[in-house]
Amino acid sequence: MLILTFLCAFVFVFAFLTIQEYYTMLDKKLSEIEYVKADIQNQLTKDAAMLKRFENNYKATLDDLYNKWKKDANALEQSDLTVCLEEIVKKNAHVSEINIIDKDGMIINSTDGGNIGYDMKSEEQSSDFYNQAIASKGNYIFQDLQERGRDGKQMRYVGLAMQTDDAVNDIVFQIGIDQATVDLINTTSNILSVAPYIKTNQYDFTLIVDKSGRILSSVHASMIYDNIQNFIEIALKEPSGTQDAYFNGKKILYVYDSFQIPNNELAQSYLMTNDDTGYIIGIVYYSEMFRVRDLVVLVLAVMLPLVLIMIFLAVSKIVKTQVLDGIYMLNGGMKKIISGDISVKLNVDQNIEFAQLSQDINSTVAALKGHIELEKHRNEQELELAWTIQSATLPDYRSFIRVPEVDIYTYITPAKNVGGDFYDFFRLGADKFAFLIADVSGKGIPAALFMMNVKNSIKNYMLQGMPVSTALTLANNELCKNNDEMMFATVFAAIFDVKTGQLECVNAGHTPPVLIRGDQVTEINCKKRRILAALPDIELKSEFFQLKRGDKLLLYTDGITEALNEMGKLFAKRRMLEALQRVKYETGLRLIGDGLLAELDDFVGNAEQADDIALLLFSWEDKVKRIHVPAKMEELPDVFDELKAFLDQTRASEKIKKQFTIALEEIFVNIVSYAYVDQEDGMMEISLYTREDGNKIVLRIVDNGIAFDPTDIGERIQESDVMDVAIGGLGLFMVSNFMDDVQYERTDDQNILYLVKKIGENKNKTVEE
Amino acid sequence: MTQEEKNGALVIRVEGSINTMTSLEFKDALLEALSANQQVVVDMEQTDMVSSSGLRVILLGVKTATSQQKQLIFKNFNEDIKEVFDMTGVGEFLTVN
Repeated sequence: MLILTFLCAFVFVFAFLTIQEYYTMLDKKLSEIEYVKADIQNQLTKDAAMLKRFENNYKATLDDLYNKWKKDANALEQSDLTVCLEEIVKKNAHVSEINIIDKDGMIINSTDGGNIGYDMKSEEQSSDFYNQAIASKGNYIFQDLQERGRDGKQMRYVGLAMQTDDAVNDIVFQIGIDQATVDLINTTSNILSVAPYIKTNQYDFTLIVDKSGRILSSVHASMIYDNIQNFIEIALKEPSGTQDAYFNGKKILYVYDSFQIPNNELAQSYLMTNDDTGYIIGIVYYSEMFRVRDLVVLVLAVMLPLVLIMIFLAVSKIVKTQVLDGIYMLNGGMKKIISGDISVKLNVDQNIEFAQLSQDINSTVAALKGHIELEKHRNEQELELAWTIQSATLPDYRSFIRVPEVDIYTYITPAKNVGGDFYDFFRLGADKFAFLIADVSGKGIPAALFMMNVKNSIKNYMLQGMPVSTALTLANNELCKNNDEMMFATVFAAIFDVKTGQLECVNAGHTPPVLIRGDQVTEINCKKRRILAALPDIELKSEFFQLKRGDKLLLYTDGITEALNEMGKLFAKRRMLEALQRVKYETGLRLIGDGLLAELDDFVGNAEQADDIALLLFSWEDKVKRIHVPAKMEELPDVFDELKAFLDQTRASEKIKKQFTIALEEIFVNIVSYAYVDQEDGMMEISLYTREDGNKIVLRIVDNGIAFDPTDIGERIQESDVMDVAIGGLGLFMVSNFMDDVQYERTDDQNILYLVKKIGENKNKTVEE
Repeated sequence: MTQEEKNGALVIRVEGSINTMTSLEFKDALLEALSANQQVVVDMEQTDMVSSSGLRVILLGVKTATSQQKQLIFKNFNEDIKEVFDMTGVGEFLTVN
């Protein structure tokens, strides 16, 4: 583009200079010609005057010869005449020879002996002269300089015929002027000096020619002569103008004009034309005419590349700093943005456009960022909600109090708000307790939804009282159906017999649990079987282990063992077992679990949690106090003693002890008074145990009497008299106020009441100071 | 449980808890004291706790005293018992010293 523009400019300048110089030169030349025209006329007039003198001179000589011939015609044939002629020639420097021709055309006498006896009619030039002379009848004739017939010598002849009456003695006098003499006359011509002065530049020149092409005045006459003839032919048609031609391979321009030659016989002869026209021709070399232009071209031709290179360098430098650097910076920024790093801030300020552009991009990205943040926030909220819903389906170990012999602690945290890991535990009838842990493939919502399926399916079958193997086998078949997503789950599931301490378990592709027994920390050797939901109709056999009181089991998902620290190292089973060794003597499951998780936390550091983490700690409690007593009032003191002994082992305050004592009394009295109305041998079972590392005391009272829910006082009011309501209601009212939680269930024709009190909290709502 | 005459009033000192096992004894002592004295003071300084059967006796005592236009005063009970009184609303019926 730039080069094209430059070329256009160049062509324009070239054309402009060409035209401008051409016309400048033409104008100059024409005005010169116009100017010298008068001068030429003037010089020619002077020349004509000079020639007149020669003419007169020749005429005088001829007249002299005529008079001599008239006086003595015969003498002219004699030798003294010859001497006479020689004298004339000597006297007159402009005469080269004199010939006398008789009526038959024979040269009868001459100053040049060689001429004598030459027949004028034998050659064209001489016969032409002779015929003219005869025809002129006594007038002077002038012949142009030309090769004479006799020997080709360049000569010019002037003549006069003498005619007698009888014509017998007619005679022609002829004066010959040789070339040297003609040239001599010519060089003394005034016109000769004109041309050299008509000059515009260094190499141009001017010719003054006559119509026949004879050069009257020139500096380079001989050089140009060949072209002149051609030119004359053109000039004849167009008496003034310009004409291109080539000379010595160089292009030249003729600028010409015609002029009038003065009417004078000799002048005409001398100008070798019978016409009165001559030409002034200015000749200009194109090379010179366009010198300025050519100089410009030359300079440009040399300079142009340099200039172009410099412009190119300058432009490229400017483009680089103003444009390319900006583009590269923008591109770099955009690349980062496209690859997801929207924290990039562009600050390209090469020029206003880039500053504007980068600002626009920044604000676009900022807006995008805002939207993403908003979307992210919404997603996070939704995922949080999803996790809340999901985790709500998992049982809470804190409210698990209904199996005195079993304590549970759980921990779960998904890698992404919702997880695929889960645990579950629930009571099966009076004596059995099921617990399991599972890891569902994938993460996020799909895994969470699948997890719900797995959880429900297993629990469903287990609640029907099947052994673990059957429950899992059926659950597997169910999960294999409609599993287009090819999800799967690894599960460790167990049913614990509270009475016998037998553990029935199936390990469906999961990591086996860890058994903590005294100071031993070992993995349970439960064979790893096929994963769930992958293949239907697989055999999932149960295995049986006998636990001892005080045994603890850790069920976990690989989120713990495969947790990575910042260096990319696995926490691994080894570190987990070592951690368990350190925390195994802790007094509660929660302390053990949290101890392990704290070590995991220390190891992982700031690395991102890659997988869901879930664990379930199970223990077969060995500190449960269980009392079986007849439902008789007289048993109360003994029960009080047992309660006191138990409470003394806990961290319960005196006040809590009093409250427990009252609560037990109220319930005990209730059972004795109302449960076994028709029965004499009614029994009751009282269990005392702690939960959450001794922070919660649970009193569990079981009777086989008539169904009675002490938490539902309203029902009782209708059945009893006002006094009893007041008093009996007062007792239960006190119980519910003393305790943090009172739960009732009717299972297997038993009333089971749980009284729960947290230690360290003084919960008594009605006290107002 | 001990009793003594003091400034024309009968003071009953109750030790331990007033519960199902002790309330009967307390009831007898209280009603007897009310029938024989114009003013009965129950000193509960040595009383640990009161169960609902204890409360029932106390309410019976208050009722009896009111109907017989006797004066029944409870004093020196501990914070835990005060809590029970307040919680159950029994405290409202009591003359406290």
